[in-house]
Amino acid sequence: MKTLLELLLNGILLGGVYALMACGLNLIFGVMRVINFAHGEFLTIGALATYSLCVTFKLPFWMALLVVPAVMAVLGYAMQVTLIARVINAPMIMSLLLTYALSTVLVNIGLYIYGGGFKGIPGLLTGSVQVMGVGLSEARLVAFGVALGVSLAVFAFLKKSLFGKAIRAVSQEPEIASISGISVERVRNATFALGAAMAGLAGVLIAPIYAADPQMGSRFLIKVFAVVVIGGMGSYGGAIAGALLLGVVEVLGGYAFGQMAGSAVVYLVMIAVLLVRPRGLFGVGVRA
Amino acid sequence: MTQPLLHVEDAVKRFGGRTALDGAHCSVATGSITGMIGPNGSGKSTLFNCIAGAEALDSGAVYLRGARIDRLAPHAICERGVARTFQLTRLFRDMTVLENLVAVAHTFSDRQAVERAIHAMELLEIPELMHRPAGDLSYGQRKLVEIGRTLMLEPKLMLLDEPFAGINPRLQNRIVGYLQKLRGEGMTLFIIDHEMRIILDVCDSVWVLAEGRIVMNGPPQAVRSDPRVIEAYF
Repeated sequence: MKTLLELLLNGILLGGVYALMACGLNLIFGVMRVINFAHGEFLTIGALATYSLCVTFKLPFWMALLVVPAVMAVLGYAMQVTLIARVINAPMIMSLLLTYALSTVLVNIGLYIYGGGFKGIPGLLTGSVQVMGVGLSEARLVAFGVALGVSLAVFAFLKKSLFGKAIRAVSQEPEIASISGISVERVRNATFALGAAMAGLAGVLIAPIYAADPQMGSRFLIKVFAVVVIGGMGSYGGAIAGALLLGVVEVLGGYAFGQMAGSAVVYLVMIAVLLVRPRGLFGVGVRA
Repeated sequence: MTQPLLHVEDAVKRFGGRTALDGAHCSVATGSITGMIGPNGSGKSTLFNCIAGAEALDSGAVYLRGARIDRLAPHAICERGVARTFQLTRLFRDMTVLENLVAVAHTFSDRQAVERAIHAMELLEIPELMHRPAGDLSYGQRKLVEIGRTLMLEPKLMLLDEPFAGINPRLQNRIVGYLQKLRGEGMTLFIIDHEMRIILDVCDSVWVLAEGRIVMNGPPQAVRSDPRVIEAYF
């Protein structure tokens, strides 16, 4: 019983970080209908930047929590304005190819700067906390708390604020939003920046848990795609629910069948959802 | 002669080999209710799309208070005071009625936007719909919400694309009442519709469009007695 509880709690903690990634990816898809293959590399940049700040420059972790998402927002904004905006209204294959190319370029820049090895951050959030008799890693608890907190804050922002409503309006009816005075271009730019910042923050949060390397993004991105498919493309609430579900499935699968085979369980669940509910559990549109 | 609020000059719009607007022109006087009639496919909705910036003219020009607007982005035209509704209502379906209204009120604070939305819903007698998802509304209710959404923009000129189509006479009369009230408050209205009874009753001036060209313009009584209009509508 204690083992099951431990697995469930660890699965939920893992799901928190997936939620942060998936919510950003879903926001970008919902507003622009762009599937961002470079989203995983935004996480990689976040993790490697955290390594540089905390190990190379010996700055405190909280500074990485503040600085990296802000820098990623600026980087995302610049990418959106200079590249993504040019293919939004083109056939979807164009944005797929563009973001895939962007992903490859970013991976290779990472390899050039950091080399191919793993970059761990020793001595950071290494303690554990007892929760219901189960010892939980401090790093995972912090990652879960911040990730879920930010995901829910963005959810509330979409639901309550005027600009959040404008984002949802653009996701549902861009033409109507535009003739109603909403600058669709401004909303898209801000959304891509927000999505990039969320992925960058996810990178900061996993840096104390997993050693970072320039190719880690694709390993996470494929799982985040599974989250988005399970939760429903474009559904923000679905991304959070799907992430927590997938985190639990991954941990339980890993325990039951071993780490490698356990990952397959995640994709079996995704295939099952695709067969039963092709639109995922929560449908389409940026729904807060 | 006073400058019209809206002036369209030699508007041409082609879609592939089809010419939707073939040199159409029209003017809307400030504070008026102006109508436009014409058979299906005559180019009325295309003209509204070009005025609102949703479609770009191939040639010609659109002026608002003397300033050219046809090269501006749709949101910039809206910021200058032009708002429109659609023949087939287009709301943000996954948002509530209140959210539909508030979402476009980006020049106001959150509190002001909500207050204005409630005021618009009270004017249109639909406050009970406030928390209903727009996708769940009836056709007539959607028409009213769409008018409410345009009111949130505080437009100088409201373009209404078939506001009376497909709704019962009681609701039609209610909408006529709202429009006359809005005109009384200084708003200018430009209406496309097939409901000749209403158009000829409420409009100060009517334009008749056929095959992308204006074939006549005048007060309702002149339009009512024109043989071309009689042949098409009566």
